[in-house]
Amino acid sequence: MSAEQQHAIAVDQLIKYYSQRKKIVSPDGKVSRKQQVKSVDGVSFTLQKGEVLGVIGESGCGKSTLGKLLVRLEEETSGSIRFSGVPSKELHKRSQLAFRRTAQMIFQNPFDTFDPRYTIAELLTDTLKLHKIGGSYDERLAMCEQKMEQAGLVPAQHYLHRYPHELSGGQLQRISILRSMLLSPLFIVADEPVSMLDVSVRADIINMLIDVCQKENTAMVFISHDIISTRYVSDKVAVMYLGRFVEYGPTEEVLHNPKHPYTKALISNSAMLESLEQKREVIRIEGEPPTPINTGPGCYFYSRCYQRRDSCQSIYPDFTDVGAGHKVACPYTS
Amino acid sequence: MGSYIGRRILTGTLTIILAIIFSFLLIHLAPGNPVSILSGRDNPSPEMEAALIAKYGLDQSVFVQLGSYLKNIVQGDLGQSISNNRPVVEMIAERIGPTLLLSLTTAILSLLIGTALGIYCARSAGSKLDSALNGISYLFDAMPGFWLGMMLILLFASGLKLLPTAGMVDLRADYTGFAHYLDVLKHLILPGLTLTLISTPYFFRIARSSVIQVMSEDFVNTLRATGMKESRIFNKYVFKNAILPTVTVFGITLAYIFTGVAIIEIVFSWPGMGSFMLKAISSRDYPLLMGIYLILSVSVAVNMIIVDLLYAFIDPRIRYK
Repeated sequence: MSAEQQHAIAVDQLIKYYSQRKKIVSPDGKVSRKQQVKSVDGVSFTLQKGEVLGVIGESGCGKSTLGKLLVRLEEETSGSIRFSGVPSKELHKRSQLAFRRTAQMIFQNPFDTFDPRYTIAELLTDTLKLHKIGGSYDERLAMCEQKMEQAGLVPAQHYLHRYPHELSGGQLQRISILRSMLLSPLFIVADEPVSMLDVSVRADIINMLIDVCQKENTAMVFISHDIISTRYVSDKVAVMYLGRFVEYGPTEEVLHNPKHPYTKALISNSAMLESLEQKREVIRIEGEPPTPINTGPGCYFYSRCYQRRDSCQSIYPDFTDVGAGHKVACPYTS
Repeated sequence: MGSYIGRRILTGTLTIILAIIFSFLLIHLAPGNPVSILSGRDNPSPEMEAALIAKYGLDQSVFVQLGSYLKNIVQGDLGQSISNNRPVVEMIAERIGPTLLLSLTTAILSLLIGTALGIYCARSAGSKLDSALNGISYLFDAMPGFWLGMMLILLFASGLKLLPTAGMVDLRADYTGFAHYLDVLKHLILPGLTLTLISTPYFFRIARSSVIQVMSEDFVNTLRATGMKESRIFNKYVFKNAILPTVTVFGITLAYIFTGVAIIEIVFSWPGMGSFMLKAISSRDYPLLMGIYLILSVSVAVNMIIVDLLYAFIDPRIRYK
């Protein structure tokens, strides 16, 4: 229990299935009405305070759903999420506001993050007011101003009284990060926070994100499909494929020494990682990922894997620990 | 903001002036000799022709004629109706009241009912009530207004004998005071119901789809992530964003408030502008037609100005352009 309490967040076998209603006549004449889309299919991990987990994977693999589950913008089908040992469901039930002060989220598109009808000051102070922080509007405004100037948005007055459409993507994303940190959460999810931004400001935004997280000792899940920025930000990295982690471990260990064929393929296709010692051959994987509906019993990656064997078809492989907390869901790693 | 209003009013006024000039020139382009229309014959006698040319100043150049027409408009004189030989202004004034009564009542009713139902359905999208109302809205949207009007007459007036079939007042009775209003209300029910039934679906679907669209935007998730209650998110944030298309459609509805209900006016023999306009067209009463066009174009332009100003009030992104 004490070990558990040290974890800022502990996720155990988190599952999110969406059910679809569809009539399908299968070849043997049976009619199945309900289908399950396995969006997140048994994800587990833990993070200490201030630790960062990078989640990488291609579009549609369930990264964003995972992010939303963690901050309860989606309800999980089963599994548990604990913040400092307290189940998030319970925390949320007891007080929705208290939960929001624990877990926050940074969204992908800064242009859509803010209601276009209100100024930044109105939006930020409204959040504070909701959480009963600060006695008056002026006091709350001063708090926002202070936070903004600390984060390098100087002068804050220049930004506060503008509408979202009057600011650039980079400026908005800084404000978005500030907004999520306004309540000093224990944990935040950053869902592809820089993918919509110009390359020239990405580094700045990522540095700011790291800074504020370190200052507040906030644990973070950093969702991305960009291996380079994930490597820069994360302490741990998880590779996701069709709703499951296929490889998980300390960042440098996983990226230097990938074991899962999918991770290997991803890294071999990431041009800028060539500085990582030896030259690699580019591994091509073909085809689309299979549908997350009615997945068979075998390994999900089977259809695209270049190392597949017949036995892979019959059972989904368990994690094997290859040392130093590096886990791989593939039995043929050597 | 001030300069925005000023600019908008200026362009609106320009639009009106251009519309007047354009409709004036359009009538001049129309084939046929004005003298023969005015006299009502194909071959008027030379004396009659000369008298008419002198009376209407038809020997002047087009620009002089346009000038005097504009001057008369400014003085509130829209000319003389050919078919009735009465001032156009007077005739229009008689007809505007009933049309406004019918079209404003139904516009406001369908705005309120449609928007309220649309919002309600959007917030419980996919429910049984939602699907049912959605289906009904398509049904009424697809229904021709004149047909629905006739069916309602058949049912409520001819069949059940609950309501009058046509007109705005009972011609056989001579009600005054409160009884008069009650009589008008009784006559208003059927045409009003017809128009409300066929125009509510627009407001319903627009409100429904724009609320659903705004509810799925990311900033709503942001607000949820701050811990805000759904009701507050809706009242303070979503509503303001979702109402813009409704304002647009209501503005367009108002712009056609004088003539848009013509068919229904004819079905119910409602003494309004729409049926009046059709009569003016069929009797080639050009001064009267131009008067009606003028009212129509002014009302479109004024409504557009009002809608644009409302936009600026609701949406800060427009204000600063």
